[in-house]
Amino acid sequence: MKLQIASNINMDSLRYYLKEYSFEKSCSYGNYVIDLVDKNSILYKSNSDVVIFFIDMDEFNEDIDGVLSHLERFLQNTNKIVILNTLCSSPFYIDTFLHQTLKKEIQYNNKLLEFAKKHQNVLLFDLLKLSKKYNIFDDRYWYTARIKFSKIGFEVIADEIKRLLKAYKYGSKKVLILDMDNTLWGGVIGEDEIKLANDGIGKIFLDFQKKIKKLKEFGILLSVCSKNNYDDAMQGLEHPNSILKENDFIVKKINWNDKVSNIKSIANELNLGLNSFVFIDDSPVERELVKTVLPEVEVPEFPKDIYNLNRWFVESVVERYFSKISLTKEDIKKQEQYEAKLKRDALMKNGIDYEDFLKSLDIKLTFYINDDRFVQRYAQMTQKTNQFNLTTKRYTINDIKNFLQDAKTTIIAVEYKDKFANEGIIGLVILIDKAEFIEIDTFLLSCRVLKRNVEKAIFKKIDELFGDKDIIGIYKPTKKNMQVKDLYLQFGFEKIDENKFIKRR
Amino acid sequence: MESLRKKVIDIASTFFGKKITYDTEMGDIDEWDSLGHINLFMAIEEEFGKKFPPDKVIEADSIEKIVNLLIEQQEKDADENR
Repeated sequence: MKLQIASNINMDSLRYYLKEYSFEKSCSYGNYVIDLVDKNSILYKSNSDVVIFFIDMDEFNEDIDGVLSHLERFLQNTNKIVILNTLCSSPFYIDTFLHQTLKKEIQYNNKLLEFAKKHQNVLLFDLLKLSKKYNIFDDRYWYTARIKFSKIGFEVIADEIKRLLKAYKYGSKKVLILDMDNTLWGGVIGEDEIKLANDGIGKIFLDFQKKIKKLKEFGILLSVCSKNNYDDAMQGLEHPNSILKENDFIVKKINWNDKVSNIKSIANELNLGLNSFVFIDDSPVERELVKTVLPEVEVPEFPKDIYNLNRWFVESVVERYFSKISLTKEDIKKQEQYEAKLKRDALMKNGIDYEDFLKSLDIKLTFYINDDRFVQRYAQMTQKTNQFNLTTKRYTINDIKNFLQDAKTTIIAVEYKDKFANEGIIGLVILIDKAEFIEIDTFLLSCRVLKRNVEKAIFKKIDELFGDKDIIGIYKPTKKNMQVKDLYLQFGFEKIDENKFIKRR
Repeated sequence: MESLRKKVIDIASTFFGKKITYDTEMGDIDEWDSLGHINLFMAIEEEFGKKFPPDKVIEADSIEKIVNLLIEQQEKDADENR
């Protein structure tokens, strides 16, 4: 990924703090708005994938609406991602109690927030937050080099940019697994009176629970894995001060089994890979065990000083593992969807014949062909799907948009509904017309709908669309997609070589 | 003195991600341009807990000169504490 800097001050130092990225030549700082407008500028012509468009508020004399509309046009004409910062006046502005600077800062930031929300390719980080936490400004090199930030300033800005790009590329972990005693509350339930209150130590845990609940609203699934008697643990969740209630947790493993087997069975029940999980436990022994046996699970250290619990949670857990650029409808509905899956599994366990079971689900599939309304979801699926994914090609929103513009490419998206839930768009196929045959570039299904014959319906759809052409399917093996290695053989393709299959007409 | 040299060389090689010796001067490696120089100094200032006036910083454009600047500063500090 190539980065490029456009700013009204000298932000080139960032390249020393973002060494893992290569940089294209920066815009000179007097020219950054002109470069945005001029289609022959280095901003347009360069091969950069990401433009760090850094605006220093003190030096910003342009009209914000004007700059944003230039930026909007730039975004329409390129595929680049633009990183913006919230505006932050330096703390040495002349404050006469007329609050003009403050007013401007608030107004401009409102506009930036709205702009970022409107554009999928705009990522915004909060410079104001950084300025509250760290001493980011240092004007000693301002006069000689137009450098405005201290070393720590550049470091934290660079970290924030890395975090944004990581979140953009990989999305967030899916499930937070929590221990209970001394994690969700102070003390041991069933033995002491637990600490969960509106003051003192109990308030620390209460605030912690509030933050966890907030995470759930962003579509993160919650689960508990705790060594307790089940009834005791339920008492904890029924505590009048408990923010988190029994039904906030999608899966509860409250027993005396070892936590490794419990976490494995949570992963099984949700049909998610172990790398979707973050595990929080105050006990170093439990953490060590999970870390050693299940290295794919993220196990952050627990703070030694409980007074740091909430700050630690934000910085070392949420910011590190659960950063999200945007919320899709799927994210918000995830909880319901997984609940529906667990209900279906329960139905299965009751011993109904599988075909009857499928019928009883009332499955309804809707196919969308080259529909550009859901590009964000398409990209997200290519980024996140590992198991039922034949080629595991990762695409960005821009890649998808390019496909949609290309007449040789067909994108089929599948929406799934059954009597328990509307799972939304869960399947994606990208087909490329190579003249003498059609190649299946991507074929993936969300693990939520595996074993429901969705793939069968998709092959039927492909036949409908391309009945007169040979179809070539490719299987690229990865650590995780073993289950689909024979998919093409199952659906009437012949093997041409190790990973290539053909359906002749 | 030896350890001071070593420390400056270590900071510079880590900062630029290149091999640096006592003889390296600004311009010898691509990364050490004028902007790299300022940022190198920010790292040195942080490590030694000292700040230098920007004009001195700009003059000290080789490892040798940086080491000398640091020694000069240490002597000055010692005088002041006397």
